[in-house]
Amino acid sequence: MASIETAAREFREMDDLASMKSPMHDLHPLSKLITVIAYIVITVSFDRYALSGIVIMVLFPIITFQVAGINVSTCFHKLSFVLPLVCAVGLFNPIFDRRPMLEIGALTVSYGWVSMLTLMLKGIFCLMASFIFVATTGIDSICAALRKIHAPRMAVTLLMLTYRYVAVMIDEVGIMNNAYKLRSNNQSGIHVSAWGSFLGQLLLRSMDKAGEIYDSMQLRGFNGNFGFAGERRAKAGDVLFVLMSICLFMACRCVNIAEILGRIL
Amino acid sequence: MIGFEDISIEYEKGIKVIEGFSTVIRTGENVGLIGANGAGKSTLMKAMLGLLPYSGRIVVDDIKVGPASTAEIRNKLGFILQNSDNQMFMPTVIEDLMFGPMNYGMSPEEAEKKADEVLEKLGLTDIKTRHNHKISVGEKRMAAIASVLTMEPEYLLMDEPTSALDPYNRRVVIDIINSLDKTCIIASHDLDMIMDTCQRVILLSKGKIVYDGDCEELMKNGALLKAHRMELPLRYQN
Repeated sequence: MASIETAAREFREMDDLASMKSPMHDLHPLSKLITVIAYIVITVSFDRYALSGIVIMVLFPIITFQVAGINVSTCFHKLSFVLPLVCAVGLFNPIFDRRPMLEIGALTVSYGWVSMLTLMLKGIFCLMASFIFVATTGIDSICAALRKIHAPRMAVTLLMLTYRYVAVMIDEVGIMNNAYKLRSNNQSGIHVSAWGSFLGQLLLRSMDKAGEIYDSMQLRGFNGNFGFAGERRAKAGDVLFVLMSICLFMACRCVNIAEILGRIL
Repeated sequence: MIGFEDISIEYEKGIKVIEGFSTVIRTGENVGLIGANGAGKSTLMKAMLGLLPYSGRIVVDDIKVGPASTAEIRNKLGFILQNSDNQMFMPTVIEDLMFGPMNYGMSPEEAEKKADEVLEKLGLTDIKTRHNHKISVGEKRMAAIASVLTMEPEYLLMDEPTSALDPYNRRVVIDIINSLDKTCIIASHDLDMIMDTCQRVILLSKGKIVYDGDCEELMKNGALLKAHRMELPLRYQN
């Protein structure tokens, strides 16, 4: 039960993070969205063996975490579910690609190892950038920004409602789990025979509750537009942030800064 | 004025939850809607808000409730849900209060000003920036009322506004209802609260009106209440 409550609390903490005050939070959502998309595209575009080149891309998430006043460990803690999946993407590369790339003393590093590490870093950096975007913007402003770039209304509304309903579903799991435990004579977990009805009930209850929330939103004028997220005009600082960030990303993409630094040192 | 003409509502074909409901609610009056579980109170409210299809005619200030008029109707009618958790879906109280006005085109500054006024009126300034999941049930109920009041509805529909509240918060909600200069329709099983807030009461049973009239008179009629699975208000019980 504690883990379900923790999950619910942690999920809601994303809203808490988004309501903090920092220069990163103050940036226009659209400028953050464009910057993060550019960052992800450029990071993913690195060659799969460009390990030294991609390392420098860590600077963007690290700096933005610092500016936002959010601890980097918060990101890894909250994304601990997804991180193993991201890291597992290139897991078989060392097995399939054994061509030697370089030798460090007696140790031979194969192309497979390098490509695995590059893929892992790409995934981790992209996750960190996405996390800082969500943690400093808030779901409503993200949706408003997506609508600004003409993302389909239906898809954006679904994104927002899914985000809201995840919290509702976690709450329902907590309530049902409590009810089950109170009558399960100290049984650990939920017995496999009850999984079907538990999931069925969870779905029905979540749908009912989600329906009420949606009704409540409609009754207060929600029609798929995100006027309530605030219509703030982009300032010069927002534009400057986007331009400078993209220029820096491009520079990191075109020039292997880590290699140059290595030569100098 | 809200007019109902021969309203029938059915969830499943042939099973009527509301049948032949006709009445008029005049501007400025507080009307209690009472009845046993399943009598159709919440269903009727949802139909008034355009959330459920119905047959017959519901008219709010000369506007017929229907698909073409939902935005206009929902701007006139404020609905306070029984479960405030479902009403307060934004991260913080102030964001929830600003949600409605901003959807209707108000600027963030105007919406916040409006929200501040309502919070001050209801004595809720302390919880303005609090997160919805961190406030008490009583505070959440008050905040839910505030979130509807910021939209300045002409009519207020309340579904069990005092359920799950402690006596103090129950009294606060009653005082709030009495201080509002609005037409209120209150669905509740809390007959003492209905007596404290409404002059007129409608008793529903199996979707039909069995009494529509003076509140005091019905509340003393133990036989009629009992016949429709209700009890006398606590103040009239020995």
